[in-house]
Order: sequence, then structure tokens, then C-alpha cells
Amino acid sequence: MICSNCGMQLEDNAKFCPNCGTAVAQSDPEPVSNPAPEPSPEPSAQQAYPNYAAPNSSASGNQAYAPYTNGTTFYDVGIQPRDIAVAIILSIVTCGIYNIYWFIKMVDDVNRAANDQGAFSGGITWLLSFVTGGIYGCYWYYQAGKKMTYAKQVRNMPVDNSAEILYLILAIFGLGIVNMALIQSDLNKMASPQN
Amino acid sequence: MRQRLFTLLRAAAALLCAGLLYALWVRKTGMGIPCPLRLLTGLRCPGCGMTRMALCLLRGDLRGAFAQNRASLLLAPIGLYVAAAWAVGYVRRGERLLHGAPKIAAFVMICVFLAFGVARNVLNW
Repeated sequence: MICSNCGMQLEDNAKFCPNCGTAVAQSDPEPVSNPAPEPSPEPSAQQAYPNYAAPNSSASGNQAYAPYTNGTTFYDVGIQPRDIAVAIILSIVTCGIYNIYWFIKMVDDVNRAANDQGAFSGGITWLLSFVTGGIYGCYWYYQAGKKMTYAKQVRNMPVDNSAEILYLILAIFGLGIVNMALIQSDLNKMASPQN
Repeated sequence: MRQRLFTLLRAAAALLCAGLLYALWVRKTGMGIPCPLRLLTGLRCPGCGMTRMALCLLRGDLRGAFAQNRASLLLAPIGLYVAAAWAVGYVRRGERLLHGAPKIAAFVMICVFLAFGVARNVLNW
């Protein structure tokens, strides 16, 4: 089987392309309902994040958000899985330069996962964090915890209720790289639900 | 698969060029990228000495390379193994995540690097 979008070789039972995230057309697709978040004890994610575009209403014609409109529950075009161990090693051996690249890409991926189109891009976030001596970075990790919670809710993934507090505390103690590993691990799950 | 092979080769070629240009730059001017951790705290991070180690290796000076950053030199073969495993997985199946033995090797590398980061400051390696 071959992906209709990027031409990648797929496994026979694949529902989504692990490379580009396109849903694989299958003869007998399982019925997918409206990709609304499952009822949760918390207030609805839509309510909590009014400025996040609802998955269904995102701009049509925008390739990056195409899967939001095609009736599947898979929102992940553009989220690229990244091996955490490799990323940490590269960060060490490049004296942190790779870490900057990783951070910028991760911010963009988190925004994509939460479909937060109005958020600062990765580059701007890094710059703001740099000029504020890391303070903005701490705040961003707090935000990222909320965005990842939202992103998990709309995907019906199990949610850690106080992820943002954990991220904030780790960031304040200079353990941003642990946050990055945790967030990347979640992003990897969103990018390839088959694994 | 062909496309991914070319993507990877292009990235590797660009990285090699950038590395050689950087080596040339450091050799001519003596200026490298400063380590932020060392500037701020005076501590040496696990990656300190990588540039000098690479320059020593380019000269074929193994002993000098070992003195600059012993963990990186000793871990280099494992690093090459992990990189090769990643490259094979990516080119063959478009996979960006490691599985099995290479994954374990990568985590072992991280642990050794972290231990080395402590040891080099305590024992002055």
C-alpha cells in the first residue's frame, strides 16, 4: 500500500501515513464520528480555549490543516516524530545548538497539535525566552502543558491533569530539557498512533 | 525511499561542509562557540571540548582528542552505530524513531554523558 499524499510505503493495516499523517483510504473505514472531545469532568476544552480554532472549522484549503476537515479524528499533518534519545544526544554534542532547533520545532508542533493558530511561532518564542533570560520560556512551558492537555482531549488520549504545573516547576529548576522530552514523547504519540 | 536517501545525503553533505568550514574558521581565528553553561557558572558541560576534540582528530592526534573530551571519543563508535541505525530506518521505512538495541544504546549514551558531566567537574577530567 502506498500513501496517496507523499508516496510512502505503508503497512497493510495502516490507517494513517506515519510520514505525513494523511488518512489512508480504506475499503471499509470504521465509522468516525464528529471529532468532538469526549465528555470530561473538566470544562469543555473549547470553552477553556476560546481562541483555539475548533478542529472542524479550521481554514479549508489550508494544506496544513486539511485533515481537520476530512471527517477523520486525526489532526496531525505536520507533526513530525522525533527520537527523544537522539535529540538529547545531539543537544549535548552540539553544545546546545541542536537544542535550540529542537525547541523551535517543538513549539511549532505543540501549536499545531492544539491547533492554536494565533500563538507565537517557535522562533519568536525562543527569542522572547532568550531576551528574558528564560522567564518567558518558563511561562511557555506552562502554556504548553495546557495546550497539550487540550490536544490530548480532542484526540481522546489520557490526560494528565496538572501537566502545566509539572512543566512550570521543572522549567524553573532549569530542567527544561526534561519538559522537552515529555512533550516530545506526547507529540510522537500524536504523530504516529499506530506505534 | 530514493527521495529519502537523497534528503539524507544532502543533509549529511551540508553538515560535513558546515563542520569543515567551522573547523577552518576556528583554526584561523581561534574563536569557537562559547559554552553558555561555562560562561555563566564556570562548570564544564558534557559537550565542552567537542570542537577541540574534533580538531585534534582532524590532525590525527588521538591522545589530544582523548584529553579534550574523553566521553565523546569513547562514545563515538556507539554514536556512529545509533546514527547508522537511525539512517537505515529512515531511508527504508521513513521512520524517525529508534527501536530495540539502537534505542537502548542511545539511552546508555545519555547516561554516560550525564555521569561524565558530573565526573569531569568533580575529578577535573
